[in-house]
Amino acid sequence: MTMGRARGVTLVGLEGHLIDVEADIGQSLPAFVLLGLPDASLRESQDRIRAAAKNTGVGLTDRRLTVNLLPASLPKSGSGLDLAILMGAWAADGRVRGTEHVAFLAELGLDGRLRPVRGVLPAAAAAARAGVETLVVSRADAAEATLVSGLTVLAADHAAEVLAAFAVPEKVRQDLHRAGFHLDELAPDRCAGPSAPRDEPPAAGTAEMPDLADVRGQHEARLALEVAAAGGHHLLMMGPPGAGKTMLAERLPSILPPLDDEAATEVTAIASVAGGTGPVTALRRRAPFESPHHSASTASLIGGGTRIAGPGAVTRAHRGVLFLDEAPEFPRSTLEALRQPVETGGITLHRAAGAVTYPAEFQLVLAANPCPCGMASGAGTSCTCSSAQRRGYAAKLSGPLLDRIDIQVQVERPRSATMARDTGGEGSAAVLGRVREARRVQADRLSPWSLTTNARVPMSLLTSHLRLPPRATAQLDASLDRVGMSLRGYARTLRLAWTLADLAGSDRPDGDTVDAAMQLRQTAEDRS
Amino acid sequence: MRAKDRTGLIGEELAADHLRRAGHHVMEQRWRCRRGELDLITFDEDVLVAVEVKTRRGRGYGHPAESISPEKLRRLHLLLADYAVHSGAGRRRRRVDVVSVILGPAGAEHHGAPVIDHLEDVRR
Repeated sequence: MTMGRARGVTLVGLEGHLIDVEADIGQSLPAFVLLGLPDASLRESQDRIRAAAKNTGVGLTDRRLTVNLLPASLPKSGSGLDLAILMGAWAADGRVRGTEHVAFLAELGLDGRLRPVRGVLPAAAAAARAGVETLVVSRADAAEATLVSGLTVLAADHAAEVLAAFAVPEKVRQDLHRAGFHLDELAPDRCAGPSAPRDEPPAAGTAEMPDLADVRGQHEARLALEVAAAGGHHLLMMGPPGAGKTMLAERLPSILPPLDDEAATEVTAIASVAGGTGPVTALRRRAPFESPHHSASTASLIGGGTRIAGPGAVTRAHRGVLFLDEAPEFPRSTLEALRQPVETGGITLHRAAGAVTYPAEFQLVLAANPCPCGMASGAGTSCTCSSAQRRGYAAKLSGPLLDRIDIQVQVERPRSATMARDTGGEGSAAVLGRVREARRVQADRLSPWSLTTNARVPMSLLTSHLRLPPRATAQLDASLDRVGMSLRGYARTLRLAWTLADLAGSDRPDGDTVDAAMQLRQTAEDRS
Repeated sequence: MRAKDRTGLIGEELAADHLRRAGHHVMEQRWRCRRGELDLITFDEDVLVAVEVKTRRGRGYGHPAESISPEKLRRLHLLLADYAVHSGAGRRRRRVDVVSVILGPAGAEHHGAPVIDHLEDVRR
């Protein structure tokens, strides 16, 4: 037989696509031709594959080897197809068999070792969806691949082990032996089912997950944080340096409920593709927390790159928190780029090679000083900024972005009286209990519309099925008419009111709750 | 004689023997003209064949046939056309074959039989 087949997986964004690898051996001079839109990193695979094959002792064919990657129209990239191409080539000259329905996902070292690749989880999931039953990965990727149910995962350290698993023994035994391998002793590990332990979020109070109990005083900010956690609302904290804005924001993940299976799979897949967070061995159940510095470029925030764009901070914060400290210091264009993900929960990046959509359903937390010097709060007597400077600073955040932020709260420096009176606040565990209950109640209420959090409820629903009696909204209706509140602001106040009601355990907001919601929206605007 | 030339001669002899066993009628060995040299010229039935012989001791530098570049292959086809005209066989069908011979290391000629690999009708 001069045709061989194997399967591989390539990622476009977070989406895995099954690739059919066809290898043909032609009766002509030795050559290695790779067809099917390979990018530069994939072209380099030819040399890796040739060296890896030689170093298992078996080598590639002495004839013209043509490898075709199907579907040809899909741009393919990266080193994850190395092993699939090698197995296809070996199948073509009859050294292995039974590779047609097996997916191979590993990079090859020159010595023939299998190297881990990024994005194993989404790739394995795509393979399983496409009906692949067996997946071969490097040993370092085995735990991640077994997170996908319904796949038999073979894990190996060296291409020779994979060769042994599919070998036609009489064709390879001697060659392997010359290179120091013994066919009968080689075998990949068979790992089935999710054997890895489920990753539980660390308890609050560790260095990784600081506890809310560390925060002294700040009753209003604490309430704002709890409401934000309960309803998934975006939050702006405004206050002088040293008031504790960053400290509060860092404690938000400790009062967010652990992610459910679906969300955890998404978050883990993103971590796997983005890399840089160590090996993935279990589903990530903790809500991610991303806090890019204000010097971050727009591309690093929303994702970017040539050909197919890679994920940015907004995608790494998916199902978690994106915290922008010193938000007015960010370039205006960067802040404006956040509007699409904040509104739609996703980000679509267009490049010449194709568009890619990443999920970006994060909770936005902004912290800001009231002015460039930071002192224009309270009486504001020590502020050294001109009024023009102050206006310019505030204008950075005003407009459409600010309008999308449900909660705006003023954070003041604690006074000595507060320090003396308060002996540390309520711990994260107690708050988390209330948050979980509030989340459960709203998920039950919103399930007919397949929504889970109050923050995502559309205006149309608030004014139809979830319409409140006029008695409860009287004050709010008045401000819509008199104060010039936007309709969007009106809807956000109603969403907040629902979250407050859920936290209080009442079945719908009453007039007082709506008033409290108005307070949470307006305090920062009024005072600065 | 230099070692590499002797390797080449041994290879050409082995290749000629191999081709005769395969039914070729060997016309010329090391046919030269002003433009170059053909290692072997044979008839395979009624097809005129130019044979390029590549000989190596061991496989440390890759498969012998890998060293034939597209440019070299083009030159072989041109030389064969020259020969066809020169010998009055201009109307015969022609093709280029490559025979690669892998010998054992020098001084160990009897260390296993040489490996001969015959590629017919090489075009690119």
